[in-house]
Amino acid sequence: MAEASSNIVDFQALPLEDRPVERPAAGLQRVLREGSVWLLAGLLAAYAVWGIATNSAMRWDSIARFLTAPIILQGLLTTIVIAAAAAVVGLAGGLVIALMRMSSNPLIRTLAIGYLGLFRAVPLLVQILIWYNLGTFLPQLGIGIPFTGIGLYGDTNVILSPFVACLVALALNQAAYMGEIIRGGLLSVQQGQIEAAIALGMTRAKAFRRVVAPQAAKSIIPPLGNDLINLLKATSLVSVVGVGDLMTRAQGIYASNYQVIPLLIVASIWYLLLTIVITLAQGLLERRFAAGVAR
Amino acid sequence: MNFATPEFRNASAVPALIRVRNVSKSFGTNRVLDDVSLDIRKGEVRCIIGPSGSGKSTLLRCLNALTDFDSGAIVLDDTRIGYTERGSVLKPWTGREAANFRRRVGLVSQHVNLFSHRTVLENVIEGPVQVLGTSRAVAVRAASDLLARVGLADKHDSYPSQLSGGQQQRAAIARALAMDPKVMLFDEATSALDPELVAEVLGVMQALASDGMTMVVVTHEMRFAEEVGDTVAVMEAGRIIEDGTASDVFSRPRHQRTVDFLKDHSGFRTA
Ligand SMILES: Nc1ncnc2c1ncn2[C@@H]1O[C@H](COP(=O)(O)OP(=O)(O)OP(=O)(O)O)[C@@H](O)[C@H]1O
Ligand SMILES: [Mg+2]
Repeated sequence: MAEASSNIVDFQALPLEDRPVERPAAGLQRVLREGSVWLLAGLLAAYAVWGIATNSAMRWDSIARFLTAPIILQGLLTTIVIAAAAAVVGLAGGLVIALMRMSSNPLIRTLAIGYLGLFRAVPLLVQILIWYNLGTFLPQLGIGIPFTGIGLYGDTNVILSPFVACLVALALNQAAYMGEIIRGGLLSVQQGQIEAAIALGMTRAKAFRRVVAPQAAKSIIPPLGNDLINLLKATSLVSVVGVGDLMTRAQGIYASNYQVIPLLIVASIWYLLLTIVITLAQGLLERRFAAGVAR
Repeated sequence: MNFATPEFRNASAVPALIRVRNVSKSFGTNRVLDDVSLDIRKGEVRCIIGPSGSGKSTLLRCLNALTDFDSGAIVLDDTRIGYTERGSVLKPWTGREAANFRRRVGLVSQHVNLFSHRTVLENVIEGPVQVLGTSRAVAVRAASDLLARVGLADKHDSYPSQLSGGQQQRAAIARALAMDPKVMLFDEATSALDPELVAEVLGVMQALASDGMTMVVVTHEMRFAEEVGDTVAVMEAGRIIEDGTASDVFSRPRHQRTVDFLKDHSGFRTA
């Protein structure tokens, strides 16, 4: 082996264990990490922002003014209340639907399947309009003993104010989607984990609380975050029946001053901020339930 | 492996702690347990061996009331499995009564896993704290002793996914022991383990046996059955075809099927 005379190492002559290796992050992966690529991307982004920012139709002054206008903030509050209430009712209802759907009783299972089929099939906008207009079809609502007329009844239009009608529509729709998300989480818990809890002498209820629920939560949280963001944005549909949510307020203002895009941007900024809040909460919850996950 | 020969115990002198009488069970048309009768005495190490699918796991699950059976009876100590005495009649268990019964029987099996979202220590105190109502401080102290006994004193805060298979099974044994059970059931506790990990788990089981724990051990480890087991039952197709002291079953099997089965498992460990 004559290597001493030349300073060009013949790598091919080396045994495999002594050959130099290339870093694994090769090809496109490595190109995307180059500083020059970041610089180029930054320039393009800056150009796009500049183009929008200097567009005279943008009316930055109105955006800034309307962003915190009392009427917009009122709408924002309504949006938050509707979304939060529908989320809470939907979560509880979803748990019930998921457990019914997994019941060993065929009647209970069929009821859950029927609920899911109906509420996932009818578009949310249609559901909102149906609840809003229910008074034209069923003027009285209430509970009582069938065929006797004894019971508590009220005027549909009084009970189902536009606000309540929207809440009912969003919550029932939400329960259907949450039901399937929760069921997916419950199915992801291994049978051996449940059996271990039962074998230790836990009742079914305790095994559910101590073992099934926390383990299911881990796989429920990411789709739950998705679903809550969807719900938040779906609240904008209630503007069709004139509940004063963020979107209704924005529409109301641009109907009179014609600054359509600026007001849509105002609404978008608020939706974006709320979405960031949900995303952060999702991250916190994910970390909270990540215990024991093999990495 | 180096098992001490168990001292001879005069089997008939001790009354049976568990009495299995004419138990039968079918899954559809598949008769999985066929008129099984068995006595398990206090302090006895009762091994159950037999080919795959012969009903060993099912029998064990009946002993822990994890599965019900179609006919026959099992009595543990003063409890008829599945029923509570009310006057002269026996009433079927409520869910809570079934749960209360299971506290008294420990189960370690390849399929009954450690809780993956809890650390080793949390796994061991879960039963005492949540089921028995022991205070956390007391449970932690007892758990530390148990974990030291199974050689996991330094693993309190590890999650199951951070343990080797043998360490997981030893932690599972500690979790079951924390309930202070009357009987320990083992269902192929070592069959998913690499050969070098089998010995450490069997060692813990052997130590438990010499402490006088009543144990029912379903195993493919013929050497463990022969050396640690007091009595061995051989199952085939849902029946117990041979039942006797370990030395009798291994050195003087009466049934040709037993001879065949032992020949197939002659190497002390099978793959
Ligand atoms: N949940 C179930 N549903 C239907 N059949 C079952 C069920 N559990 C067990 N069986 C059947 O019961 C029979 C006995 O199974 P069991 O698990 O008790 O066997 P085993 O002796 O433990 O076998 P192995 O040594 O392979 O673990 C098998 O034929 C099996 O297919
Ligand atoms: Mg088995």
